[in-house]
Order: sequence, then structure tokens, then C-alpha cells
Amino acid sequence: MKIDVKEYLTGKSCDYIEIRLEDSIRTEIQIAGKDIEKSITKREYGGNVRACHNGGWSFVSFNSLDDLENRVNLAITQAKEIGNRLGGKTQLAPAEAIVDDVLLEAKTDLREINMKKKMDTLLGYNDILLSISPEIKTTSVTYRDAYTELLFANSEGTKITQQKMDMGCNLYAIANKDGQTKYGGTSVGSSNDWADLLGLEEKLKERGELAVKLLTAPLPKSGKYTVILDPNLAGTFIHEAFGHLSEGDNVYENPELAKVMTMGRQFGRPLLNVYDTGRDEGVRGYLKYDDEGVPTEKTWLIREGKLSGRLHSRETAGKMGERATGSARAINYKHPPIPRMRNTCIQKGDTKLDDMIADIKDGILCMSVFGGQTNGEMFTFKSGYAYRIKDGKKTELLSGPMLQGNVFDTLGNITAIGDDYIDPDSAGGCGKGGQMPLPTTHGSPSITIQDVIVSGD
Amino acid sequence: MIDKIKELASKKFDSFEIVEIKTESTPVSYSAGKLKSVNATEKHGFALRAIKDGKIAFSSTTKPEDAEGLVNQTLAAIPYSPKAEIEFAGETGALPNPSIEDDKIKKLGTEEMIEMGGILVEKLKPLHEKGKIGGGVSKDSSTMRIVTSNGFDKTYSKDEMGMGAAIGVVDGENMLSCWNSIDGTTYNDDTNSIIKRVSTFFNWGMKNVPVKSGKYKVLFTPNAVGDIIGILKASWMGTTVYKKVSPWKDKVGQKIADEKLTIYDDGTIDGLGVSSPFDCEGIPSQKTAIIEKGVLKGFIADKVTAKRLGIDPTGNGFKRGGGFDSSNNIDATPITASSNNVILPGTKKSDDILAGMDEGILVDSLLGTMMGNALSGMLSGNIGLGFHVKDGKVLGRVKDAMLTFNLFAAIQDSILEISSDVENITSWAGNCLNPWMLFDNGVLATK
Repeated sequence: MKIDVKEYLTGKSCDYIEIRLEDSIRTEIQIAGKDIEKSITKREYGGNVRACHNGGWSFVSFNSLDDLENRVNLAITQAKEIGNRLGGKTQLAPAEAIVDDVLLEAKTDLREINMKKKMDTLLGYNDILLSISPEIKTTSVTYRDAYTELLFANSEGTKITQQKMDMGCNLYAIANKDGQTKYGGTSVGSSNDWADLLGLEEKLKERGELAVKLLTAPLPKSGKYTVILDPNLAGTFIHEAFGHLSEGDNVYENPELAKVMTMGRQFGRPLLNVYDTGRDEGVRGYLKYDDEGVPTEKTWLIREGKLSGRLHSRETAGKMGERATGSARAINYKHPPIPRMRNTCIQKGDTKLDDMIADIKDGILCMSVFGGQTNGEMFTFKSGYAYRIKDGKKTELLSGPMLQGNVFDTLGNITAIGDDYIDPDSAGGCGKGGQMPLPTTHGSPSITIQDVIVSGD
Repeated sequence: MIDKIKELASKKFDSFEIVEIKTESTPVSYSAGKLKSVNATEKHGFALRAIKDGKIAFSSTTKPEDAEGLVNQTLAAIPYSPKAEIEFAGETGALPNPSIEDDKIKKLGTEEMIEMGGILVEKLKPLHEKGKIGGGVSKDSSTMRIVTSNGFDKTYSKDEMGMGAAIGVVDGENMLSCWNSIDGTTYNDDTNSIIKRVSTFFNWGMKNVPVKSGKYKVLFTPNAVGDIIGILKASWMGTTVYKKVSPWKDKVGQKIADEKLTIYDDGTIDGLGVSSPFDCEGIPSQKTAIIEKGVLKGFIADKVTAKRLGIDPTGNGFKRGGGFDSSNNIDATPITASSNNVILPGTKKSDDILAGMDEGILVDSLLGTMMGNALSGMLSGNIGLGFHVKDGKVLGRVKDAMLTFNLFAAIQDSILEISSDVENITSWAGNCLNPWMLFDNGVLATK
């Protein structure tokens, strides 16, 4: 995008103005059973102007870039209208003025992969899933990719262009018998290597067979258990249950929540360390600059059990007297940036999974995840499948139960952290404030949690 | 741009369909009890579906004047696209004409919206000195045009207005938040209904009460009835019937629910958000009976699903994207989706149903209900906002409790009352006109 935006940003009587332009080509493929359900290409082209004056904001978005001057003026007029009413102060945490052009440096560049290659790969996997067993009645293959060029500039002198790629894929076999439906499969994703999608044949076979076995697997009896969450589920747990609570916009205008979320407060046992980072190259949550032009960083959220940071936009940081963390993200040009996660992780511990299992007399090892939801204080998750743990041994295969609990109690009840850290990606993404799916990642080792409410049979 | 796409597409494809959607939105939002922002978003895009070599390809663009790019993208996708099973809309007779435009919404100015938002926020402030209050008012005006190579060329415009408010309070680790909103295609400045609902629930929720695990009568608010619809509707989508995963696939004409239950999918109701003269494939909108007096009547289907099922399309081919958005997105292909879900009201007022409860749970929001396998009919959720009711009185808030219903059984055996008053709600279930519903035998598991 070669557009000179400087003239629109200089000489305006407004506290802060930014322009963000985007040109993105996206592919979406969906296969179900024997049918290609969807194979679409879409071009997302457009931009926005955001202005802030005396604490009042205006966001103006559009598709045609012809009339940029008037869009800027509309944003300024509206921001001033509110700002003057509020008589407030524009409080943005400082950010260095950066001029940078970020080119995509990919291991396997998405732009070199044509539709035929994508489709052949996915159809090949789909055939494998369908041929596993007659009980595999259908499949669900979802693939998404995007190549995006972004231009960001603000009235403080920052001007950044970025090239980005994003790829995610979920591959599932769906087994069906006597009214029971079970899923088995895997997911991948990347921000720098399309070839992460390759070589999944063996894993898919194994997971497809698991879906068939799950048809006859019982649910655990409902009750309170000591559970081990596998890295996938533990990562989702920390994202949903704690990551969102760490987002500055949930806290900055809410003094009571700010009190709960006071730095230094003990949330977990000393073994618990949690961070969110934009710096893990290759994962979908990787980004060099956020959508306010702030360089990303590794932000510690919990260190040794104590609250030690949160995820900020320049405004939420400015209002709380904290540092901008490079966490202001927008799903596309149609939305303003808000504090979001990047790659949210529980730091690797030093306990072997076998030892974690050996420590449990009667519990459940919960594997994989089918979704999660939280309202800040309570959470609910659906696990994909599970194993009973009896007298320190992993035993019977179980259907995945729902897990629920209170976020604060549960963090405090994490009693062991494994050494088997991974950061799995998928075609999914995080949703917040109508912006979904944003490419985020979560990483974790296995974790042991005591007293989790499990609803099964 | 449409003329240019037509010109190029007619040279490259056997037949085609162009959709143009233009939307202008002005949302005003309040945060932490203060005016926060006034935005203006404009979306204008084009989508092309085209048939060649027996395949149907789809592509979209929001780049102005990029007709060539759009046509070329579509052409490149042809070899990897689904088999063409349908024909695009042709000339059509009379279309339904629900009232979905409103001059008062068109004329609604930012100033007035700021004022309405201000009323919402100011009236909620006295509820709690530490309450965090947010809210907003929005207006949208949109136009949709569909042009096909088979002679269909129709346009409709829609005006929508919405407002809502929420109050949240954090007291130690106890968090309470209550919200309510109204949406529709007619001007509605009834701030009082929102304030009344939010205030009532907030005041009830300030006190937590312990409740024992067990079976309870459960009164669902219209908002919580959205969860019931969200789960049940998976079974009346033509797509799940075609895939043979719907448990209702062979049950048309059979009694599957209590006589009190009647559900329609109706895209022709004046003033509702998902009403329109035609769907995103040019099929006239209609009222489709799903369940009438407990008997399963039929399913909803877009064109391709209808063809596969051997039924007529029901005007439910909508361009829905990910998430729970019930507006049409230019970059999405038409899929089977609900228009307005309507449950026929009963005879008793919701206030009277509540007053007549001996003991039970009143539930307004559930967490996690959309995560289970909807086709199993299991409703299972952590109660986000719910209350313990005894002798018609609300005793206080129920927390840390899991509510479970097998809805397929519950709609047959356990519907006690359906209220005469209904509310238009939007949730993950889409746009619904829901009454309050009282069920027997809800399973509650508490700590």
C-alpha cells in the first residue's frame, strides 16, 4: 500500500489521530464428508481513522480510500464533540515514534502456495479420515489463511508498514453410532510456515481411531475431582479464565476490579508463572507491532503466583499509569484496536506427567478442548476426551466431561506444573467485543488442579 | 461497479449472481458512566457466485472498482469449488413487504443518540455507588441488491436501531453484572424498559443465597430462552437433516413436544431485525412452521440444502459469517440460517408465573450452553445470572451452580407455562421473539 498519509495527519488541532489501512487476501476452505462445502477467496480492502480529543474518541471506517481527507476531518469533529462535552484529558501511555517497513520472512510463504496445493493437501487428509472406520460418518475440515499488508501512521510520527501471513486448520473425523457423536482430530496454525500443515497423516489416523473408541467410552460420574489438564486444555483455561481478566480495558475504568487485580496479589501457588507474548515467531499470536504501532513484548501476568502485569492499549495503560504492552489489536480495519492477548502461556514447570498422575488417587486426566467460556469470575470448559486416574495410574478412556469452577479458587488450586510445554495452534481464534476470530495462541504444559467440578453422567 | 462485473462475468461464466451490500452505522457508546465514543462505519462490498463447468465458485471484494479482480478470483476458484446443484434466482412474482424501513431512524441524529445513552447511564447510576455502567445507542442503514444473469434484480433497504445498558459491580471476588437491550427496525426510545429490567435484576442479585443440588422448577427469561432455541434449532436446520445427524430427521408430522409449544421461523414480521422481502439468494421470505402445537412441521433450508432434501427453499439462505452475527456479511456464502425465531406466546403474564412459583430458579443467563453437542438436546450451563425463588418471591442470587436439562425430554414432559408477554432478543441463537418459559425438573448441581 503506497499511500502518503502524512499530509492528513499534520497540522490538525486534535490531541491524537491515527490512520490504519489494510489490503488482505483471504482463503477459506471447508470440507465435510465427501463434499467441498466452501472454497472461497475474499479481498478485504479498506481503512479507518481514529481520533481522540480531551478524552473523547471517534472511529471512522470505510472501504474507499478516495476521500481520506474528509474521513480524517469527520473523526476529528466527532472526537472534539465528545471531548468538549467531557472536558476530559487525553491520556495515552507514551510510545516511541517508529518508522519501519516489516517484510514477511516466511519459511514457506503462503503467497507461493496456490489453491490446487491447498486443496490437494486437505482432500488427502480428508480421505485418510474417512477411510479409518465405517463408524466415521463424516468429517469436518476447516482451513483459513490470510496474506495482509498493513499501513499504520499516527500524528506522533509513527509510520509502519507490515506484511503478515496467517494460516490455521482444523481436521476432524466425526464418528457416529446409536445416537452418539464423537470427534477426533488435530489442529495446526502458523504465522510463518505454510508447511506446518504437512505431515499430519499418522496423527490423523490415530485421532480418528480415538473418535471411534470414544463412541463406547462412558462419561465420568459428576462430582469434584483432582484433574490434570493436558497442554491444550490448560492453555485454553489460562486464556479464557485469566487472560481476559488481564486485559486492561476490563480493569481501567473499574476500580473495584482493579482492587481484585492489584499487582503483587497472590493468585496461585509460587509454582505458577503466566505470561503473554507477541514475540514467539511462527505462532499465530506472533506480531512485531500491535495496531497502535507499539512494539510487542513478553508481558509477565503472574510471577511465582503473584499478579505482575496486564495487557494494555495506550489508553488503558495511560489511565492506569502503567506501560503500553503492545497488546492493542484489531481484527481488521473495520474495528478499533482493544487490549487483546497474543500468545498466552503457563510457563513450563519441572514435573513429569507420569509423576503428576502418580500423585493422584482418584482423578481425571482431561485431554483436548471443545470450547470454553467465562464471565470473569466463573468458567466452563468442554474437554474432548479423558482418562480416569485410579491409584496413581492412567486407566479407562472416558468421554470428555464439562469442567467448571471459580477462576480465583481454581488458580489457587493448581498444584503441579508439567515439563511438557507446547503451544498448539488451530484455525480458531479469540472473540471479544464483536471482533472474532483474532489469531491468538496459547501454550502450556500439563497442569494438576484440585477440586474441579466435573459434570459428566 | 455492478454493470462492470456483469459485463465481465457474462463473458467468463455460464451464469452468475452478484450481491451488493452497503451499510452505514453510527454507534454511540458510554463506558464507566461517561460518554466514550461516537463512531461512523461504512461497509460497501460486492460478492460474486458464478457457475462454469458444472462448478459453483464464490468470491468477494471490498475494493472499490475492482470488478476485474473479483471476476478473476472467482474464475481461479472454479476447479476447486463445489459442484453446482442450484440455479440462480430468476424473475420473480410478488415479494413479501415487511416494514423494515423507518424515517425516524434515518433522521435520528447523533445528538439525540447521545442524549438517550445519557438517560440510560444516569438512571442506572443510583443503583450502586461503585457500579460500572456502560451502554450505547446505535443506528444502521443498509441496502442489499441482488442481480443475476437469470433476470433477478431486486433491492431492499433496512433501518435498524438498538440500545442497551449494563451495570457491573465487583465486591471482593463477587462479581455481578446485569444488562438488557432492545433492537429492531422501528424507532424505539423506550429507555425505561431497559432501566426497569436491569434495576430489578441488579437489586435481586446483590445478595447471594445458598441453594442445594437437586431438581427444581426453572423459569427462563426471554434471554435464557435464547439458549433453549440455540440448542433446539440445530435439529431443524435442513443441513443437519440432510447430513442425517438431526434427531428429528424422520419425525415430521410426529408429536415431539407439549401442545403448548409452537415455533416459527418467520422472516416477514414487521419491525424485526432479520425480516426482509427476500433472502441472500433471492428467495422470498416466508413464515415456516417448525413446531405447531407440539407437532414437528418442517425444517428451514437454503437453496442447495432444499434441493438435496427435495423440498422448496424456505427463504433462509443467509450470508452469515463466523460467530453469532445475525447480519449479512458480503464475504460469506449463503448458508441455511434462521430468520426470526418466534415462539408463540401463552396466556399467563410472566409476573404472574413468577408469583405463582412455589420454589424454583429464575435464570437469565447461562455460561457454556453453546459448547455442548446441540444435536443431543442437552442444555448444560453454569448459571451466570440466576435467582432462587420461593413462594413467588426472589430470595437472592444463585451462583456456582450448573443447570442441566435434556431439552428433547423437557419440551415433551416438563413445560409448565409459556408467558403471554414476549421480548425481542438477540443471542447466539440469532434474533428471537421469546416468551418466558417455566419448566419442571431442571437438574441443579451446586458446590
